[in-house]
Amino acid sequence: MLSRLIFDETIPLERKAVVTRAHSTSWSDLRAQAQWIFETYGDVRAHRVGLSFRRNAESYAALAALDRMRRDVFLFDAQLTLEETLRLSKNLRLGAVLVPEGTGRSPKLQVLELPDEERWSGGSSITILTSGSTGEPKAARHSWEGLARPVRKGAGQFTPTWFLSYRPNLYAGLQVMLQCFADRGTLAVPDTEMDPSSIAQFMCATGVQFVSATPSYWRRLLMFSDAKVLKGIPLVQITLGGEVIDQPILDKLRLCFPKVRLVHIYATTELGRCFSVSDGMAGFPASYLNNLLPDGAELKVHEGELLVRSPNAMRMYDPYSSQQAPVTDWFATGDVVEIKGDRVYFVGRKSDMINVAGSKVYPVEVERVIRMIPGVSDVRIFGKTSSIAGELVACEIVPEPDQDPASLRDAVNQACRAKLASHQQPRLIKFVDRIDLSLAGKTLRSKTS
Amino acid sequence: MTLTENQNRIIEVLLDVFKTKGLTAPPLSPETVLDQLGLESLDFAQAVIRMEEITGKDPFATGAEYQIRTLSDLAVLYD
Repeated sequence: MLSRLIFDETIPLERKAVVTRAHSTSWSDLRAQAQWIFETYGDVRAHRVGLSFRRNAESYAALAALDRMRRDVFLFDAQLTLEETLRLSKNLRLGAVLVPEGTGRSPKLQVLELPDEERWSGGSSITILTSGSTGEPKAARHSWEGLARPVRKGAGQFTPTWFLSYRPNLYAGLQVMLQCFADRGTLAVPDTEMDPSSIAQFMCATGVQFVSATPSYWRRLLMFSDAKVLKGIPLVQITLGGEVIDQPILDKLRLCFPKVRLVHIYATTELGRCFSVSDGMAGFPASYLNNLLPDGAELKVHEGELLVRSPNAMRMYDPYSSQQAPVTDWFATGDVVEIKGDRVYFVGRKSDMINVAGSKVYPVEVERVIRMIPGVSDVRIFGKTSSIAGELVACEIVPEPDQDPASLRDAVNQACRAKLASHQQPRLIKFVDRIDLSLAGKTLRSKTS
Repeated sequence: MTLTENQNRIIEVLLDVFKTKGLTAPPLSPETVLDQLGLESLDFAQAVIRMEEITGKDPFATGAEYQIRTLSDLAVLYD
């Protein structure tokens, strides 16, 4: 799929394909790089090939070349050390790992060959490595066709500029890239360590029209960057995904960007894209349940958990993935939902559930209450191990500037007492400067003991 | 009467627990009978975690059973 987009089809030679803070790469340069990589490394014997994936055009060129070479590609985050990449590659029984040479702008790759290669799948595939619960990665294999199925070609001459908030090597990042490249657009790729105000300026400078990001990512942008700069971005559409989307974030975005189309998407690494909602309201219509959806997925609720059958699902876990599951029709998503009237709302992840003396608490329910309190700019709820109650609800709050901690604490306690049951109320409140996001741009919920 | 360091800490932590609950705390002393404070088990769980944050100790983590009647009985576990 990617090889077709870059090698075979007519491309807008002069238009920018990838823009980073330091460089921009035209479509013709991207094709030339991919061609060079294809010719230079086409004789790599291995068929299961790891690629250390950087946030630049050269990595997309390498990916297109490997697709053309019909390899099973495994995408490694470039932030992993070489040692760790090699260790994982050996565990996955890859035949080689390709690592960009040097730090500069060169399509040159270092080829590290490995013994004991597992058999080739027989075609071109892409395997996404995500952190599993054991710390060892889950390895979800997609076909390029499956990965590209949700891509909708835009109409006519419109060539969009997309912003890549996600890691380029994970499902959401690959989707954004494929959507952008299918429309012959320009992909604006920020550096990993950019702070919110530089991100806003970068979006403005590159003329970003489409942004796909998590609610947590937007919360940070809205909080820490200049509203004037944000309003100057020529946005057409904001796509939210990856986390529960609550009404306050939709309302805040609507307020800041009155004319923008607001979409939220439900997708997972394993299931691919399942459905989207664009009415600006949290949750999704109950009519989506037990019906065939436009993306081809079907949904049902079983014991409070959302189950999905999706044609965009992965093909399988790689045989050496830390997580294995039989390929079943219906996939339990781990997302707990609640039906209220004609709407289905996300309550939280089964795995994020906090067990307070036998009662279930979902962090999102508590976060929703605290986020509404004036003076609170961001919040994270997590379980804290308790020798007496099993777990207690703990929270970290980022206050808005110039808040008096003592009175904000009182306000938080008061609101929680008014709106939450005793076991849901946070027992430990800490004020922090910022809430860290995971590599996937989600609020971290790892429990602390 | 002088209080021990840990008695002082427990009083402070319990005052904080009452504050969380939006209640005015009664006078607290080493002789205060804990059962009569009207606190629930989650309140004690909160106090124990706060004490662990302060002292680095959690006497309840071992699963041991203690005879705790007064505030002073609780404080001794952290000495």
